[in-house]
Amino acid sequence: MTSTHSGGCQCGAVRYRIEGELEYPHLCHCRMCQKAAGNYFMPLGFAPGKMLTITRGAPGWFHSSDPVRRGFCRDCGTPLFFDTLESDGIAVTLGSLDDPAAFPPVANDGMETRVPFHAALDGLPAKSVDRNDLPGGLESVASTNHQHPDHDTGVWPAEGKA
Amino acid sequence: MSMETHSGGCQCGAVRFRLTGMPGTSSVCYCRMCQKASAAHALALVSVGEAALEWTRGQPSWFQSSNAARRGFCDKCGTPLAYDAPDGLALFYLFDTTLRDGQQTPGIDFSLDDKMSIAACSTSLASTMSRAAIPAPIRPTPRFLPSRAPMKASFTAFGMTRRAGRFGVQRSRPAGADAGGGRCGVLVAKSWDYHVRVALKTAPMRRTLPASPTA
Repeated sequence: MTSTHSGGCQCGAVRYRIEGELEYPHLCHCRMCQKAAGNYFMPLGFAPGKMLTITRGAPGWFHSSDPVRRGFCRDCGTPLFFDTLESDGIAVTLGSLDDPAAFPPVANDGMETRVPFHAALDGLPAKSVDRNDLPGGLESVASTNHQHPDHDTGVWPAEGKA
Repeated sequence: MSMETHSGGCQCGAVRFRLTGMPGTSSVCYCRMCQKASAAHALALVSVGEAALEWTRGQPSWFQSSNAARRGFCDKCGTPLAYDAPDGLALFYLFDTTLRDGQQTPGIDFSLDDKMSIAACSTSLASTMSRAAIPAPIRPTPRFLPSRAPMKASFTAFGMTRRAGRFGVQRSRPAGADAGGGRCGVLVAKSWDYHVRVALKTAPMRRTLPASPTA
């Protein structure tokens, strides 16, 4: 039986489904992935062939070089895909999966530009989500959360959430 | 004096920004909203803090991820750029009164070396979250000054004295301490009425201090 994994952007305008297992889940630390992700690295897994189907909306594309384009949601910005045009398949950002822990990374790529303190991140002081700086606390975020839930939905935005 | 500056922007360059001055706290957030927004396992953020943020080219698009916050990104290439809550990111201010720049109460005497090592420890724990509060000492002996402190922190100076028959926030300002015009409110509380009766020699009371920073 083939496993299915769903995912999409934060606002839910773009949703996708993967039939099967992503290959070579990894963290890419190259400067292009860092910049595209606005982050220290971009986690990617490869969906060969026609394993990936866009189930809602359509991503925007930015050609970061001639051979490669990157897909993102035009409404909320979430980076979604890394597409090498000549290759048969597409890479998916692992954090956009509805289960971001579905494919633990097996490698680090682009190590020459990895941020020097990356290995020390786990040792930083740790705390839970806390929004006591807001008048309504964390509840004011939770009760007005416009993020798409971590599963497929028939209609989105949900009624009253538009 | 040249100001610290940091520039940045999205992958395609349509949106560029510059931070002038010292940014606040940097942190890595693993909450599901930051994961989803960045499509990564964690989102690295730095609070604008006391720096000035200027969009030097283009403007980000915004997605209201909840009523409390919006997230900025480039609509040409998708790069996530900003996280904006109405009152900015939470900053936790650690007011470490052990760093006062004068005599301690007899029995709690920290040497200059002690204070330096406490400051270093505070910095390692909280980085730029550290704020050293320097209560005006009764007899100022300016030794532990911001210029010598091994902290990437701002300093707030205030004086507070409560004695029987006298109440108020001292207007005096410890020599050498300069909070750069910043404002702060000071909340003073005692955890035990013994302190009030014996140390302050007065009756327990509740009173709100006037918000009148001296620096």
